[in-house]
Amino acid sequence: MKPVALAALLAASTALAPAALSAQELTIGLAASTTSMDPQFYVVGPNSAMARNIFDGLVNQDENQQIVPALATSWKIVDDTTWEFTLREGVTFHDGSDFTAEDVVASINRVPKASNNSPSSFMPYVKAIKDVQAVDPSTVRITTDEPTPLLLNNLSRIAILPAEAAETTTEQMNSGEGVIGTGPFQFVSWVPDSEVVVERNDAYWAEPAAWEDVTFKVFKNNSARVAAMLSGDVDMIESIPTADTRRLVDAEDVEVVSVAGNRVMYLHMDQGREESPFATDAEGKNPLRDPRVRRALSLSLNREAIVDRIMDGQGVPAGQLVPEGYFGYDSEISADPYDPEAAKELLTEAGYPDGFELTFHASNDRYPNDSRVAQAIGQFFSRIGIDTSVETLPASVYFSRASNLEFSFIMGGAAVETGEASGVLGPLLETYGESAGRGNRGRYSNPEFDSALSEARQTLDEEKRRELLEKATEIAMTDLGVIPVFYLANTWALEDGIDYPGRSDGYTLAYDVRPE
Amino acid sequence: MSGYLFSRLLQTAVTLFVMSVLVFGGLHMVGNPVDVLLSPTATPAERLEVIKSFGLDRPVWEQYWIFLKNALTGNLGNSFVFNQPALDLILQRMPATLELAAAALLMALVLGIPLGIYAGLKPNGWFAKSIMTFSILGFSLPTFWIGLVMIMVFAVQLGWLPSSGRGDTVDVLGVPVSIFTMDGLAHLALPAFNLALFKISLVIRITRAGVLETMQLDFVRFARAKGLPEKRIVTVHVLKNTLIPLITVIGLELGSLIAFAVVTETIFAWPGMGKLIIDAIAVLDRPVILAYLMITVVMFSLINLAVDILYSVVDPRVRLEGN
Repeated sequence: MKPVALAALLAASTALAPAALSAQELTIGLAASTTSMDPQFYVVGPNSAMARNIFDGLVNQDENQQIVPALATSWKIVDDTTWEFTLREGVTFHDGSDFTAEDVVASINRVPKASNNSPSSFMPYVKAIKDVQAVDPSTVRITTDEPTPLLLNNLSRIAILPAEAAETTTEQMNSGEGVIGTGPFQFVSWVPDSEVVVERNDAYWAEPAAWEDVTFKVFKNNSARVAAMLSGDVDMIESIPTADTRRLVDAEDVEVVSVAGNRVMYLHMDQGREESPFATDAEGKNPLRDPRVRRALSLSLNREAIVDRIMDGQGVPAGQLVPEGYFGYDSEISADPYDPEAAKELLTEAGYPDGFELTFHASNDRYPNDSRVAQAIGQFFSRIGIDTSVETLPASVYFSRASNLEFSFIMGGAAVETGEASGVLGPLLETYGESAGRGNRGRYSNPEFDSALSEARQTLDEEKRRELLEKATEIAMTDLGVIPVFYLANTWALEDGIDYPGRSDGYTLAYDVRPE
Repeated sequence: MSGYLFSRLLQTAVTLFVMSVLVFGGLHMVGNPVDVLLSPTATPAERLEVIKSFGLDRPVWEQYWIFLKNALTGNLGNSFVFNQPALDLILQRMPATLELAAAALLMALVLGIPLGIYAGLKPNGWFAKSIMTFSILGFSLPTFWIGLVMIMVFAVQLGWLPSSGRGDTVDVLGVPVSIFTMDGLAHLALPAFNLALFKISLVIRITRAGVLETMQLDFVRFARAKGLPEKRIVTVHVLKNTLIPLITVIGLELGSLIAFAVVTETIFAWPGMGKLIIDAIAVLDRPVILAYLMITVVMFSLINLAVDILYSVVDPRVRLEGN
């Protein structure tokens, strides 16, 4: 291209420069791409978030992951294993057909078909359901195998499609065929890895969305996403890289929203083996089995400093596994204070006055700043005399090896997908077995904890269940089966003139974006 | 000629086979994709089920055998994440990458050759020296850094060009192409220039060296003695002799343009194959990684073949022979 032509091109493109927020059009920069348009295919954040723009569940999760009525307006528990849902009247699908009980039955029954070949299917959310019946066009009865207090939470994850879609395959949906829901937006187009376009559903059962056309663009690279925001190519972005927070806060015409997230960063220690490959005392034994050692490690961490300095304030120190406001949060437990002296005393008491040798493994591309957080934690351990080295690995290598118990001390992040404590207590701390504790890579095991948790899972009475979950949390946090470090914050940057309340699950839902 | 083609085909097949074995074994050692993909709330039993459904429970040689059998029928497997044929996924994104690479190559040639000739003809002028300084910068600055600077300058500060993504496309023979719309060109400008920068510098240097060398040769003196105008000497005689090393390098570089587009595609959110492969590697989506590499091998082989044929056109002394 000749310089003259290039200049002409540059000049011409000025005219094409993105118009500032034109009426009713919204462009959003996402951090991760949707891998399928089938809302029942793959349980992964970006897919679930996108599905929520187009589909509804019988119930939905609000911005704090609490259950709110959606396609069902009310429900009652008939007996321990039977639930009856009254459906919303006058709801239509994007194709104009009426929403009835048959659609609910078909949608729930479609889950096993859609999970064929899925890397992480929706089956766990429906496995407790024995039968779904349409009692009449506006009533659905669901029977479960056993008392299932989490039924509502589980149903909030299941998108409702028209009954005719029961036979629609994932491939068809990926090609744009039959992507029909009842949500605030209807599907227009999808270019994988690039963008999703939706338009307003004027017949939405609640107030219609503020935007006629919404384009979701994917910018996986952090700097590219920020640049797109600063250059005005997009009206808002999600997940601001911590290093750029200050810059966006200072930028004119840009507002930053930060809310406490539902993902807790925690440390997992090998408690199952007498001898552990990367944690050894003078006799070659595993010191991490001693609860006093684990408490010492927790006391050695300056959580405030980690959140402030490394995360640029994008986080909240954690003393348990679910953030405040979640069902099962125990208000009596607070994060351990930073007290290296007490930590040293505990180590001495446990018989390790000179510490021990520890190699701490962490991922370096899975969570925000994960490798820097790991380095900092390693330094805190060194300060109380533990001879610590830190090794970080790409997630693809790290998680397989962690699951194979090749490490002794690891860092992970767990999101509370269900919106209540058992959703994270179970996978991380329940005694490892065929049907439990898959994420329990430290092999923590306490029968008291297990029984409190499994009782909570079968208790429909809210108050009793809350008490049981708090009890389980207390047991686990007294033993320190895992050491909670901090909750990640979820962030958005918005152009002046629009508002987003933020969500603890990190989803970016165009419906909740409102002009000021 | 046909013997020559046959031997090249055989080479390609062998390369494909060796590559697939290496990648298959390598990925097997790296880790289990299920640990990255599966929701942590799933139970060990559900994990086993997924492993089975992907066929990862079989011994690795058996998995490879199944892959090989399917590959021979043109089926390279379904992506774990997309549940779509890996080959389709890549072919869908290929036009965007090829367009980017072609635009970058064009820039490299159109800017690089004239600048290189000028620098070769008047090596001591101030302009020639500036050209050479520019080419050193083009060589030594990392692509991703330049890309970010370009975004900051042209998109954020000046607001002339969009920062990322692909513009409006029109279908040409069923393939979406963005070079025929103004919006498409505006989106293409920054990433293509970013990708081209290194190649422009390379082309300048090779052309300059070729011109400098050729200008000393006897036939140039004879041409001058014969009274040919300087313009004809340069554009016909000198240029033709400079082209041979240039073709070799450009052939190789076209391959690397496509391969290195990964970095540029990531910075500019260009929806090409490069982004796909990066994501696939992050989650160990083996079918996609394999399919991508196989396509790359085939592409490199084709480019090399084209280069060899071009030699024989430019320089009749070169003959194509099978061995």
